[in-house]
Amino acid sequence: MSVVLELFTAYWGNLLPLLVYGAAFIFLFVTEKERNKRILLLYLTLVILTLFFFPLFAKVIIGVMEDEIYYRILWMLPVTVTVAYAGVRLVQMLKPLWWKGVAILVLMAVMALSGDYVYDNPYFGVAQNRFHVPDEVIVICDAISVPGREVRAVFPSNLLSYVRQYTAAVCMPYGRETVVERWNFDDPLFDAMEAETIDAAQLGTLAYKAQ
Amino acid sequence: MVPFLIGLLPYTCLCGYDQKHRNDAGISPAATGPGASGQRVSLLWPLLAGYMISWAAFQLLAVPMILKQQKFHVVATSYLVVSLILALAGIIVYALGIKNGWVSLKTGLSQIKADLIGTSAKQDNGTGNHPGTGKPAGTKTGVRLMMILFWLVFAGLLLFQLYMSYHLAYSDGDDAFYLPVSVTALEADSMYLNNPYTGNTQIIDVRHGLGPYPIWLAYLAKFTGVNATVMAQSMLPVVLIVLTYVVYLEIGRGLLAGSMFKDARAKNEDKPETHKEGNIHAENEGWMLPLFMIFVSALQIFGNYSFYTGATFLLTRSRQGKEALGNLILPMIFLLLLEMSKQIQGNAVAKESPEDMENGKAAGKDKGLWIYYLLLTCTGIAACLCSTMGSFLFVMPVALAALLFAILYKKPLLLVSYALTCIPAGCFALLYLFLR
Repeated sequence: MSVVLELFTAYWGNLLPLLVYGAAFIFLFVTEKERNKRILLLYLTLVILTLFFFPLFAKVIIGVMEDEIYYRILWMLPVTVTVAYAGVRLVQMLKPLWWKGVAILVLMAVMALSGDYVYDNPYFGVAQNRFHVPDEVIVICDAISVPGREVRAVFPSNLLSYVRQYTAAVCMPYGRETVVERWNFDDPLFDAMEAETIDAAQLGTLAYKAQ
Repeated sequence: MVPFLIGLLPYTCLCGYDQKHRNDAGISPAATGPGASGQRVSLLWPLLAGYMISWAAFQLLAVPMILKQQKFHVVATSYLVVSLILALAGIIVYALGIKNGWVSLKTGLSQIKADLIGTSAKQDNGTGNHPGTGKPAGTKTGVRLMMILFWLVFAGLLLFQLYMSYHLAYSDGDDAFYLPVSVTALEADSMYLNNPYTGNTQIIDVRHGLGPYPIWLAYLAKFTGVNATVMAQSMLPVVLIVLTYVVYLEIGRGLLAGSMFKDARAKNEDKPETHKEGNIHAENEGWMLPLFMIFVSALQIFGNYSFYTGATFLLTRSRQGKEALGNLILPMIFLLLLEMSKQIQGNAVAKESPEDMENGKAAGKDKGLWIYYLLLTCTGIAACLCSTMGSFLFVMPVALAALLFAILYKKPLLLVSYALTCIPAGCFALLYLFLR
């Protein structure tokens, strides 16, 4: 149960988006009269959330899938639709016109301030080329490629993820699996390659063995 | 383009049912506005339906071939043939639809124009008068200006997102797995027989092979002549982000079209207060749809409050199957359930009221419900293409919604209909459990 709660709170970040969603949900619960919309926006949400927290359901689903993707059940909640629809209905109810304008600005501010701007994510960077891989990967792969056959090469850890996105003709003795810590993948060649001071003789021997 | 042509198949059938309904209810063929017994089937539907059908066809064709360890070019060529046959069928059915007066490009375009800048009095309902209030219909100039302004703001927000998806590169570890699958299929003609991280040969990766979205991407690359990674990183996001907003646009149209007004118009003709200004069930005021889209855009752009949200996936990992699952398939399921619930509700209203039963033409006779069931089935199969978790994320909301519909509309047989739509996706889930 604690895993489920952790995933739930992690999903909602600082929990402000959950408050906004909750407010939109309550607003529609009070004002929406059409049964089909109540079913899809409100009742279905309640049933999905109940199942999400239901221990037996969580145990079975996490048993079949990985616990780290259990959060995807929350994708079924129509959060975007509910908040946007409630916002429009609220604006529609307000009179006169200038109140509508104020409400739109306030709602936009609430959405922006409770959420987080996606493009300031630190994993974003200006694309260096249309492949969206570092330029050096392209330069190295083109330099070592041999037409008509595969080549095998060892790359530093910061380039590992990109090499085979660029070309399948370059094979590697180890790949991204070595840099994901929680996978505990151990490779002596990787350790030798990433050592602060590289022992060229040892690296050569390990690379030869890895062929 | 090909998915759009394929989507003309269900679109033409839906338009045929819609036209029959209009003829029965005596609504002018020229009417396109919200007063016209609900809006026409949108010209954007072929795009959405077409993608769902094409993805479903790809999943049904590719998975057996992957499990049989066929070469990639066999899958790609077979699928190309199937796609072209389906597209041709779409064109033929659409031509038949034009001949029979079910569809017309002019009407479809006037619907889009009505969404963008409103309707004239005649376009609104074909008579020039509002059916609820009897006042002159058509969109007022002030409302038109608001509509244009809101659409421009939305267009700006959308273009901004499209530009950023091309201009910025997002470093995501999962790309190191999925994109080499596409690149290997294209360059080495093999599917799931190489470790994507290293290129070393391996026994077939059944788990990922059951959700071969990267192979579909390789197919696109093969027949467009574009490198698979360039296709995935620079081109596909633009298409998928636009498609996502098309789904939300249709959801917005469905929610705001005032279906209560539409489906129960005959019932409420003597109750004009149902349509009075400010009432929560007042019909779509024109500016509401673009405002809805502005809010949706804002929620996506500011939706990065955690690593896990659909919005984060949409704008950072738009080339991955799981993103398509969260941002295209799940909203598409919602859209289909919404459209189906309108008909189910319309039928329920008609049954509760004998006078509506008599003129049930206006109160929600079958307007092609079976087509929506077929589209829902295709969407379920498409969900399996995007991710092995797709079958579960499809079956769960559909089953729960069916249960709620069955209880609240007192129609237990709905459970059977919806269960049938879940069978193909359920089969893929069972396959996963047996083979993983």
